[in-house]
Amino acid sequence: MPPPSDLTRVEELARAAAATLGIEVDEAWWPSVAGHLNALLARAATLDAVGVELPEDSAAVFEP
Amino acid sequence: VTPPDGTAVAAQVRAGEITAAAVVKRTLAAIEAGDRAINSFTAVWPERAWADAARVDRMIAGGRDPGPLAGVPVAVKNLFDVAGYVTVAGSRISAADPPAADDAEAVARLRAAGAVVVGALNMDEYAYGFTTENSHYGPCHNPHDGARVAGGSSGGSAAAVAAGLVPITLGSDTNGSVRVPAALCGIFGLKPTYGRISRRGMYPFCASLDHVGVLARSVRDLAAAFDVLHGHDPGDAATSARPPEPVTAALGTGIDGLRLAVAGGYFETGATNDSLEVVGRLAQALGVTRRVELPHADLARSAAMVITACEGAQVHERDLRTRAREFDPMTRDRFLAGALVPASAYVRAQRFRRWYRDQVAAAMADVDVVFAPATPFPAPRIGQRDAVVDGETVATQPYLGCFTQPLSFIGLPVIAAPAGLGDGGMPLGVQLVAAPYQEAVLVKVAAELEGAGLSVVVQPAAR
Repeated sequence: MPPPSDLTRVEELARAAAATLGIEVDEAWWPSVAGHLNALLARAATLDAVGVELPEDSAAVFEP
Repeated sequence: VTPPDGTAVAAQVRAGEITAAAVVKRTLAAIEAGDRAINSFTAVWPERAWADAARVDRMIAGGRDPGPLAGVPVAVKNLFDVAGYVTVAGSRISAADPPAADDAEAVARLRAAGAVVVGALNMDEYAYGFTTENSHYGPCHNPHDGARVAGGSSGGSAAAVAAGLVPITLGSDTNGSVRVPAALCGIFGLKPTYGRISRRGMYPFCASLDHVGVLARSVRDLAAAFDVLHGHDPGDAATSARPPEPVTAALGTGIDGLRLAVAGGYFETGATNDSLEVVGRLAQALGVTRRVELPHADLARSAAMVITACEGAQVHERDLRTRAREFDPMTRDRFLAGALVPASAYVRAQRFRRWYRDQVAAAMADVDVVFAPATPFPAPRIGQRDAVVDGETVATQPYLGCFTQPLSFIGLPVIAAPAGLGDGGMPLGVQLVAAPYQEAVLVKVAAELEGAGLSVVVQPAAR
């Protein structure tokens, strides 16, 4: 995916992904959908800011 | 007149001072008279309530013990299965589903303890929201000011208790959906440790983060409900195998020896003054002087948002493909965005979660309970999209969870306790946070605050 700041490119790729997944997004919804997606990508990108090697294992937080 | 809490009702019923049927009659009348103004119920089930009450009254007449919640009227967020009724989960899409065949495990445990189920409660569609402004069933109004939201997504669960319609309700909490509405409506809310209470028969939102929670008028009601609800269930793979650890015995035992602290850093900014000041006021009253910083809480919130969007979208993938127009617009666009997030982002958020858990465990290693704000501001107006905090404009809806998300993200047990009224006469809350499986110490501290008159449910003024 492109950097979250590139909203046009995010929407472009999101449209392609939606088409691949068979999800029909109404034209009127795209500004909102792309905005939410961009925000999620920006938040995911901030997780790199912690500056440490994250554990490889992403298993459940609490083992039952 | 202050409505009785569930424990008081159960005591009367068990003592034969009032029948469960009489309690049902009173409760249905209260809902009929009081819910028009707040829209907390989406369904009322008199026939079910009468049947439950009759069962309780027969047991008492026969000299048998109906359980600790004998005759206590309860209502459940409308994402819990109740046998014979459709689980709508705040949606129109699921309203076309067949009725549930069985009670959800949590509902079954309440009934087995003598509770009487009277109806289902309003919520954000599929639990994706913090305000219960549901376009299908209408917004839930805050009993303290009908022009303001009740919080969400368990808004109906909080409003019904705050308005005195029922003393105990079930909610669910993925990012704050019990604690936010409890705080905004001025009542108690318990989100136990992840895996403490079975989610079998609860419509899923985000399995990694979903918890069953309880909302009530008193700490003893939270404790009584937790005691009957928690415990292993093979029907929910996430439930803990730990043996039951009831907390009612912790009531009134005081807080001697407990190590208390106030959450610093992230939890000291980004909120209105009165939302932050109530934390210091309650902590100071208990002599708390320590501060503890939970590192990278801001990133935890970000990771929680990514996981929530991805898992939530996956649950609804089929409907997003075929009937997206039938979703509430408030949730639709976020689910659609979640369906398009790359898997790498989701996995990174899960890896961060595991790392963050260890960081917080280290920070809380020598602390038993941490005080933190519950919400960044009191209940916003219905329809209010923005708010200004610290000179910055924030989106009201998602920002309501800024203090709750970093805690549920790693499954910590939390009680949201009422902390008085802020500017404008609206309730504020405080979060009491403990290490995993330490619900008993939360009950001790909450009961201490309640007993000292520092954390009490304020009856809404007529407006």
